[in-house]
Amino acid sequence: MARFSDIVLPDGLAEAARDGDMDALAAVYEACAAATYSLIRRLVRREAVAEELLQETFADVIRQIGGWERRAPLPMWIRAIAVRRSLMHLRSPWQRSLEWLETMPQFEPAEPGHDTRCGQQRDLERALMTLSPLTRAVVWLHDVEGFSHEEIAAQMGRRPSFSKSRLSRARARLRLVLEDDAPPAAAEGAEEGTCRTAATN
Amino acid sequence: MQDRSDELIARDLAGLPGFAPPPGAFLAAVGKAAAPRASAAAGRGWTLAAAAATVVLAVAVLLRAGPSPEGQPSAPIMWAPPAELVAESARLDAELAALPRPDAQRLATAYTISLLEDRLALVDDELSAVTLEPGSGGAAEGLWNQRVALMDSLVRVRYAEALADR
Repeated sequence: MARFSDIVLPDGLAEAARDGDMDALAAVYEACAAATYSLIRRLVRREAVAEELLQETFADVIRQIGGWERRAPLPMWIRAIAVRRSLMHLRSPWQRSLEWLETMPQFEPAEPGHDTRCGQQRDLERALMTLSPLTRAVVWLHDVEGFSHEEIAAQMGRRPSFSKSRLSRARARLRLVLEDDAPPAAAEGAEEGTCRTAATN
Repeated sequence: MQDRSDELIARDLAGLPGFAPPPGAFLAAVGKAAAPRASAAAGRGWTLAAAAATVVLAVAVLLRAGPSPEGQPSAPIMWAPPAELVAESARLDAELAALPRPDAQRLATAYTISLLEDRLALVDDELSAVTLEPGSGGAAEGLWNQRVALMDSLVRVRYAEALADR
């Protein structure tokens, strides 16, 4: 998966973007779009909403890049905007009223002869989808993006104990679901390779 | 995949495939960035109106309250939650803890349980913030009522899950 920490912008690109050069901004988008969209999709389940949030994130980037103070690399600054946008959406009363109407996503059936790694990834996707949106966001921000509990709590307008308790519950639930799904050979070493674990609503 | 450590789950999560961004998103973002922020202007108007209303309300409350006897500021009244709500909440906590862990986790049920636990955690977080504040009795009592209702729902779902698992 594309990761923000792996993004290296060519020399001078971030500065040119900061000066409002639209070609440079487009190049920054090209470099960061996959990581940004992947992060948003992990936090927000509905594809259409995720697309809207991606647009909003980069609209914020275009509007506010003059205020980027270089305290963090530009991709990490963009990540912060994407996280803020996504969490604002998750915390909105409208979104919370829709949570109860959401259905479990459908997963593509495994293809005959699919490798173990694909099976594990599909199990993990399924397990992840059993978590509520806020809890899933806590897990993703902490375990994948490396946010501290204090940072997550600040973003969510909660206390660190909220983030800690959600993460603890989520890990227990992920283990429970993954144990249910575990095929006998699943714990064996998995081959590196590409496989898609598509989830659709 | 049994006995997965937290580190292993985190590593596997990080190894999940990414998503390809939709085409045309940058152009759409440019369009949004260029569009006048009408909602922001409207928002500022509402903010001013809300601020004015808050001031009026605060003044009205002060006028109505009047000075306390002997001109001293009234002592903050510490609020204690109604005993019956606390007892009911504790009973439901115990009932939940006593329910057996299901052998098989149904995905839709797991999602519902996670939503309820989320709401519960939010209520607990808010309760920990307001319980110690003087004069927060009304808000805290509402939160305790929400907590009991959520616990009751959670126990029912977990109970149904346990029954289905037999």
